[in-house]
Amino acid sequence: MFIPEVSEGESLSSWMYRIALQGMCNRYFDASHIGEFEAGEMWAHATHSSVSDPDFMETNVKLSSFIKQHGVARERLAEKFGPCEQPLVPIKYRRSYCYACLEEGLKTTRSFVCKLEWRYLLQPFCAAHQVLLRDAPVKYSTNEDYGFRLFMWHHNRDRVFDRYDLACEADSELLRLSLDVQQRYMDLRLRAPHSDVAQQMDNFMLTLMRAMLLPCLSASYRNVDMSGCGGPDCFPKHGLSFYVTFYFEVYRVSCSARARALYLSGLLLGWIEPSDAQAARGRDYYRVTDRAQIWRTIEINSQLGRWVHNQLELYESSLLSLSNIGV
Amino acid sequence: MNQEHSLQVARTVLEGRHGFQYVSESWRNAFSQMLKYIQNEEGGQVILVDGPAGSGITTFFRAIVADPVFSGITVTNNLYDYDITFIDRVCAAFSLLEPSVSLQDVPAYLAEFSFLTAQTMIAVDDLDVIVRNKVESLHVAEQIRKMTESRARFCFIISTRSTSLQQHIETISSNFFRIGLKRQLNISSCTEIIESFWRWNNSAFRLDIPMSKCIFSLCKDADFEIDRVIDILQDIYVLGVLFGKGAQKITDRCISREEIKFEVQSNVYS
Repeated sequence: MFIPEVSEGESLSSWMYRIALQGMCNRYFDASHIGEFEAGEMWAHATHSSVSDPDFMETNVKLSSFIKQHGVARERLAEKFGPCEQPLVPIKYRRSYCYACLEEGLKTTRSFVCKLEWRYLLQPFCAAHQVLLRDAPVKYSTNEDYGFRLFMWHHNRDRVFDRYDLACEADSELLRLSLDVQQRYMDLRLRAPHSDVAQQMDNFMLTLMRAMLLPCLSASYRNVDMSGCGGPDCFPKHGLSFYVTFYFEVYRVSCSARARALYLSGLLLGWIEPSDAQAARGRDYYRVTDRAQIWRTIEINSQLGRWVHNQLELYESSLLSLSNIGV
Repeated sequence: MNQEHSLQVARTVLEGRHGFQYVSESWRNAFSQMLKYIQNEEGGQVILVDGPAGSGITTFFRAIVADPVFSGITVTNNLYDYDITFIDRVCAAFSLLEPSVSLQDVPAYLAEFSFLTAQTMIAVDDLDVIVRNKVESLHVAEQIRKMTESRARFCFIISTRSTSLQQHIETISSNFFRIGLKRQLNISSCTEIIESFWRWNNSAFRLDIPMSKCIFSLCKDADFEIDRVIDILQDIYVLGVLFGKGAQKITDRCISREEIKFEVQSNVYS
């Protein structure tokens, strides 16, 4: 059987599904071709386990039978799908995509190619096309045919375009600044002397984003950015816990919200000039435009300020430290 | 050649497993005409392949789909569920069907997917098998029109024996073409086919069966219709395999085609 090449940046689950689908006229009526794969929600069971992630060899529960069935060498796979060193959106919450990337995948492979980088928490923009990623409903996150679902969703224009286009049009300047922050961070990350430092930097940046997504800064977000992510209500048994919000919100919010969190982080880091932030504010009068304003808001609650400070202190490195954010 | 071997060869020939394929000149002309139509870059054509039973429509479809010029999918009736619509089948052929959803109209993603993957040709042999009733035939004709006018500019190659369905599609499509296949061969084609058949089988089975004199007259009696000609050729060749030079005596003795058929069947399958 012909095994297709892995596309640039393609995720393991996307590639495995493309192979499983080969030669099938109709996956839903003739699922036997997928072997042990079940039609429909292939990874549904994976969500019950906190460690199962089909995009990685170590945690892909179907990989052994896949290797046996298709005779692919594990070493060859390891070359293509090594461990990811960036913080990711958990599989249960994945929903972002770049339509231009999907289009390119279709043109070159005639099938849906999903990229792993769409799950990078610190990259709400597509690095290749420099556009804000789009968000599909989270209900597709565990589907084996994730790419098709995204495509189908994308063409259901009535529902999807209003939200994305609204965000992009109204916030074009803010998004540009946010994209600059993303690029600047990625460039800085490349300068990390070794992976431990890069990991510290990721955690530092992630903590900043988490802090920027706290409810006390909600005036810098629009309802449309945060809706659908669930909020603390997603975990009713934990109640309206601060920690739940702090740790999970970043995974669940839209890319537009993460882009805004990145913008606020950029302000804190001094990577965005207050004058540029002012110019980009437009009619969004409540949006924060300088570092001092952010700290003032956080430190109104002294416990919260201390918590954020302690967390950031944990992840200080030679390239990113508390001194960068004016503490 | 022992008896067992000759029976094995005879069955192979009678059951059409000899691998001989022949297309007439008119068929070849129709095929090149089809290639011209589908290579039109504008797209949006509906090409109806028409002809009597036995004129090679299915072979025509197989040949078109196998041709490198063809870039698309074949819609079949192999999904046995009453609720499956024509659009469902098209989406299924593209692997774009949602489970538990029956599509009543052309989804936007279908045209976009075909456009991006450059798979814009859709071949449907025996469309009337897929379309369930008259109401649906109108609906399908409308869907075909929509698809030919969509961004992907789908090109449809269809065959159907339903004249009403043909009319619906012809009326509604702005870029409609008809390709007619003939069942009847001309005399030179018939002579060519007889010789090719003999050469092919003698070479395939490594035999030297002499050609019977009565073949041409039998083909003439069959009005040179291609499927019947092939049938005659198979029977006469099998007689040659079974009886060698004695085959001529048998054909001389038989006064009708039916008698030859009986002679062959009784000797091979008794």
